[in-house]
Amino acid sequence: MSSIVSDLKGDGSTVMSGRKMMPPVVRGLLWALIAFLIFNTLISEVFDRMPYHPFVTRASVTVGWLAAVCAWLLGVGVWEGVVKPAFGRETHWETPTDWRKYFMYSTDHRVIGMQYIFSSFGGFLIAGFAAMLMRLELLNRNLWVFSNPGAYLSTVGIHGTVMMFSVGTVGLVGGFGNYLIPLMIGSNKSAFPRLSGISQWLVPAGIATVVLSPLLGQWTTGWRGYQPLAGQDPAGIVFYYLGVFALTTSSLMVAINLTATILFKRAPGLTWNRIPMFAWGMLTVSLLNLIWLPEIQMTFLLGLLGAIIPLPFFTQVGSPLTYLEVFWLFGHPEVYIVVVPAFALWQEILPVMGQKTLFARQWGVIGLVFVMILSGMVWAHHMFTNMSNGQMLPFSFFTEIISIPTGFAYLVAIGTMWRARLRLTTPTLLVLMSLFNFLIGGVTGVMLADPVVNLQLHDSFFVIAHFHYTIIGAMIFSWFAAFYYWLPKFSGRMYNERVGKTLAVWIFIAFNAAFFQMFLLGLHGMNRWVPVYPGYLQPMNFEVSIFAILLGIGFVLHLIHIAWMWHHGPLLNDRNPWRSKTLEWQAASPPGAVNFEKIPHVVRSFYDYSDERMAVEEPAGER
Amino acid sequence: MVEMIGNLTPRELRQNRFALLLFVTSQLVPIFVMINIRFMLADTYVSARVDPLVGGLLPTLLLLIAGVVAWGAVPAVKTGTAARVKSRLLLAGVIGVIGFITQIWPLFSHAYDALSPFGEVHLVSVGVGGFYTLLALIVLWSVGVRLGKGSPLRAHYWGVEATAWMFSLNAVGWLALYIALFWL
Amino acid sequence: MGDIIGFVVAWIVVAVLGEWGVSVLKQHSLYYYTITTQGLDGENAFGFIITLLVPVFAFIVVMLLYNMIRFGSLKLQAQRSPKQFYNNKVFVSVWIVISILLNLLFFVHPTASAIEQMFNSEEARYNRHDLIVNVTARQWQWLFSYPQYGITQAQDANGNSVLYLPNDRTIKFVLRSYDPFHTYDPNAGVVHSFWVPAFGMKQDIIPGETRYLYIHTNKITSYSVNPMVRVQCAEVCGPGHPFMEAPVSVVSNADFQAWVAQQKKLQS
Repeated sequence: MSSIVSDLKGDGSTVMSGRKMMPPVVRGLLWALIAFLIFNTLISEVFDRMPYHPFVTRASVTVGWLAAVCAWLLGVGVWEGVVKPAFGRETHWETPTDWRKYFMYSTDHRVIGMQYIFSSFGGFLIAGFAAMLMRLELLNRNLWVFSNPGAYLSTVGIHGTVMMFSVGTVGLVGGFGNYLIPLMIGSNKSAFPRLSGISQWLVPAGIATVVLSPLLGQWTTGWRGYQPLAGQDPAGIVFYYLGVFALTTSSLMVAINLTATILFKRAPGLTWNRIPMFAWGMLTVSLLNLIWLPEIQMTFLLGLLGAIIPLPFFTQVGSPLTYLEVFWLFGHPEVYIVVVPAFALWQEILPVMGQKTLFARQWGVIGLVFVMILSGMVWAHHMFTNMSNGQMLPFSFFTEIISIPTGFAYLVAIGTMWRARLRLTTPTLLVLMSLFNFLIGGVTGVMLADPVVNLQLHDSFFVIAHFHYTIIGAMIFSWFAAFYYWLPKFSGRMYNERVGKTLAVWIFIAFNAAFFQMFLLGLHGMNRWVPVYPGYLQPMNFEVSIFAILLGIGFVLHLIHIAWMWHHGPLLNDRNPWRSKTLEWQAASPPGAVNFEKIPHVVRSFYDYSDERMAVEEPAGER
Repeated sequence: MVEMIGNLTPRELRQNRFALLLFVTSQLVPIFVMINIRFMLADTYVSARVDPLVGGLLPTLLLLIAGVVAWGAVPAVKTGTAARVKSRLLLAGVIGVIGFITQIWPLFSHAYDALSPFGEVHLVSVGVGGFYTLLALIVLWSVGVRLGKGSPLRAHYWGVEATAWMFSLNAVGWLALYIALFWL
Repeated sequence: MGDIIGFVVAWIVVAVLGEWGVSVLKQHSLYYYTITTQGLDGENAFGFIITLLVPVFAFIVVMLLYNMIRFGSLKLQAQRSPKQFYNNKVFVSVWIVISILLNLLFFVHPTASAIEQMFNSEEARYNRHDLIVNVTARQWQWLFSYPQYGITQAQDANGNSVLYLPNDRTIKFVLRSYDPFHTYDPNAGVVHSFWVPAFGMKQDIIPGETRYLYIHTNKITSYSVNPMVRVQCAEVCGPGHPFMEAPVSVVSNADFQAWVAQQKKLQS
């Protein structure tokens, strides 16, 4: 709604005053608690009393949750920042300059980007911890970590849901996108600062909702929420729907903000031909988000209504296949929402590290755009085992064809590296590893696209290995590459190259050792969603678990290294340590109060390293 | 110096318009889903207790009229006739509220028994349509309140235009749902 | 030019080694253990795709390694690359043409052709003498009945469901998801997936639908010979999902008849 209220007074409309107030996050939690209690009680005790009148019912918890999330948003600062100005009232809102600014509603795109990075990293650690519990359980063929399979399956669901909706969809888009896109296109702010200020605070709310879902009961469906099983489960599925609703709403707002920012906030001279590759990635991802997130929200709303009213949409009114269709209609674009930013990052980092002109840039852009378009035409390859033979062929065709635009990302990367003087820094290594991992994910994807092969491999560990290769292998590795590449930008300090490389090799080995064996497990007959499995699969599962835990430790060590170097790394003596031509490095590292004192004027491509000239006109008087 | 429209440059105005249309367009996707799942679900049965004129045609017409009335306020901001802006917005709001009430009224005529699977698509469509109508009304309300605060009229140009967009696109979305529910 | 020759040689060496490795794997069976002709069709398709993808895979991997070793530098200072180019029309054209051709080939064979091959057993002329096995998936148990032999629920001495199949027969599985033991709502059911890993294929079972799976057995074997010869649910169906298993035996025709007689005795 920021678009509607932004005409009032602009961002500076909040009046500074010395009035003391509660820390916004604490106030948000308090308001959320009060709102939940009030609305939950109203529903369960007054309007919709159930037999034996339980205090928390499915309906009451849904209404209470909605009220609590609104109150949480208002409490962290949306009340003063958005709602009061929207109704033309003066507000008193003080923005501190120290660390506290990260713990309140903000309109600064860099603060919001950092908040998103923290939030998605929190989600990564929580969901990663769930993955560790799962692998620990699978170390042994019997139940020994969890007391019952339902607890294991709920953990699987939390792992998948939090990873997909708060890390995969958010980490590179909400986090790096919000921080870097205005810098990369030469703007001092994003198009709708208030909108993205609101959207960030939905992420912790969404993660907390999904993680707290076992409070309401187990849910055994995994991240897909398959009907009619979802309708059978105890009420935990309600918090799955609600949590995903918060997280997808957040991504939707980011998509609107980033699209408008890229289209309308570009610096003079930054024509369509010069849009940075990462911005192209954000643009394609945002369009995917704008089309498919409302679709899945509607589907989950139907699921939620089925759980609370009940309106049995996918069991009595329609067929279970209805749910599968509408879920995967969103589900496959979702995985491209996750991985397209990684493609864009490869093309962002490699030319800088090689100090060599980006190869066949137009094909890189065409690749991103066609992946976006084709991703909407492949969904039923998730359903080969439950459709008739004739229906498979078109989906198989498009699934195979989508490997062509995906291949363009490799075409560009390889052509850029060929005969470059490639600096083997930590980001370069991670990008190379990401290229390797996604190659395995892609090759196995071609196998899975073939229906007769799919009928054997579907719903086995082969599929698990395949999509973890595309998501961890490509997106998470590129995410870490981005952390190292832009750490000097964020902090003005450099990481330790030797530690960075050692840890990169560590996670590469642990990742491949763990997940490559999962291909073999799948071929050998290991099905998904089982905490208990036949004994002949135990030795390999044991190895997988050991490497998976090493992988988890590797990620945490990376995090510790990055966090330590953020504050204690050697200071840069140069704002542009990589000698990049892209705009974000032309601002100070870390950027000052505003990104650019004087808006730069772009005069040539950012990816042309054939000479030493920078892409921007030097403003007169500097130097 | 570029000519300002209210406190926005023409580029900012275009940006806001683009983003609002992007938002509304993406919010047409759920309506599209509701229209299309009728092929997979048990069709768009509407309870016999709902009068197709009062529960279907009337809110559709009212919302369309409200949209047209809201657009009437937009040129009035440019010409600076505050009274006309306020009266148009007030009229649009009143028609919108009546439209909203008639739109969601069928929610209360539905028999909520767990046995009958009929009428659910209609029910949820009404809920979805009602939600966006409510959203449009809140936007109108906030703009109306700000207009009453006495700041110069032209500062509210975008707010008024955004209200008109919200009203008209909501009306179009509901029109599509109405056609799908009662005519197809 | 030297770089191109060096790369091509390395690529060919790696691709040839890879193909040799794949051929060894093929002899050991890519699917580990396959006991149906349909499974063999799937395995052949899998092998064909791998064989064609090995050179592609080797191209990228060798390229990444070659770039890293030949053009990589451990120095952190930025130094402009001496060679600069924006495009290479020949390389890009060849790349695009090959990727299109490869995908069209995969679509024609094995995608379309193998579907045809795998499912031609559904043609009426092939399945006049099929053994029909009714498979009922309830939460969480497999129930097998043999209507042609009057066996309503095949089970072993302990009352566990078992699946016995004659060798070298086409078998038509009729798959349904409902709960015959449910006291008031037998139609309550969720999506299950009927998977015998050694069959080389699976089929989902949707409540409210009757679905079919055809296989032709080609090996005498059992769960005790290889644990891949078991029925298990492959689609999550609730907390009991991991326990939804049943052992399978593929036996000679005479043994099958003996088993049928024994089941009938057990039933009466």
